[in-house]
Amino acid sequence: MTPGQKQDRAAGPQVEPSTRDPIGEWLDVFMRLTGLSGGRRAELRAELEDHLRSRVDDLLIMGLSESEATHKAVGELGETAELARRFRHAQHAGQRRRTMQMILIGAGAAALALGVGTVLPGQSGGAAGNGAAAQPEVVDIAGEAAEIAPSMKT
Amino acid sequence: MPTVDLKADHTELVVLSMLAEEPLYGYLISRRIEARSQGELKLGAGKLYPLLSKLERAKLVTTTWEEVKAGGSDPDAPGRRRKWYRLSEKGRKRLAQSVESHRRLQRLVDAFIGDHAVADGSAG
Repeated sequence: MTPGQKQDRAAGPQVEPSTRDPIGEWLDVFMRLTGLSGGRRAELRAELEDHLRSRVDDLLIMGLSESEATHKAVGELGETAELARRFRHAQHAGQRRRTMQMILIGAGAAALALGVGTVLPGQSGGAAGNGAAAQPEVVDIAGEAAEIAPSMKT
Repeated sequence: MPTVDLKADHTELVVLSMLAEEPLYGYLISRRIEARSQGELKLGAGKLYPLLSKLERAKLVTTTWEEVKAGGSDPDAPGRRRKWYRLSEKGRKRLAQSVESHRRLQRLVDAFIGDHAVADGSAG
């Protein structure tokens, strides 16, 4: 399967649909619980609506009635308040990460202006520049996630 | 068979690997994971969409929107929106690093496990 009628990301959903069916009503309640606003809210709503309606379509093919399929599709998402909390947390985590990046950039610029040496995250403290012998890279078992995706951590 | 709960870093690795093959949208990713693992792995919306959002913010994936019309619907009525994810060049580099890290760790752990049978806990 390939995306057929693709549009630019800027052409993504900006207006929430005024759907009155059970899925639309559930999405209305859910989006309020997330506390999200603006473009991110509209995008998430559109994405979840596509997820739910795609699932309902599959369940209808499997022989469920419309109401059974809708009930099951929404139920599979999990407890509504917990789901909303996850999305809210993910959004805030992104904002915290951007704030920390701005602080680090500001601190680095200030240190450069003052002529102070800095050690940025991920650097070894200057071993390569002072003639120290190269050390074998060590795998941190307990911190595997940090080894694999250091910049994705909050 | 009970489903396996993936750790966050493994989930990212699985999703990036699938996107390396072809562009996908959220629901399709969740269905493919379940199908390819023969039902042993499930990735619910509560983990999948926050992860996709994180990957997008980190520019590891690019996204595009498609308008989807339900079968039998009014051809003039607006369809629903579908968000497609495609692995970016940065995402490919991240995936290569993640695969290398994963395989290296797996080799190291396997060296300790060897051919030992799993203890049944009855000793003592």
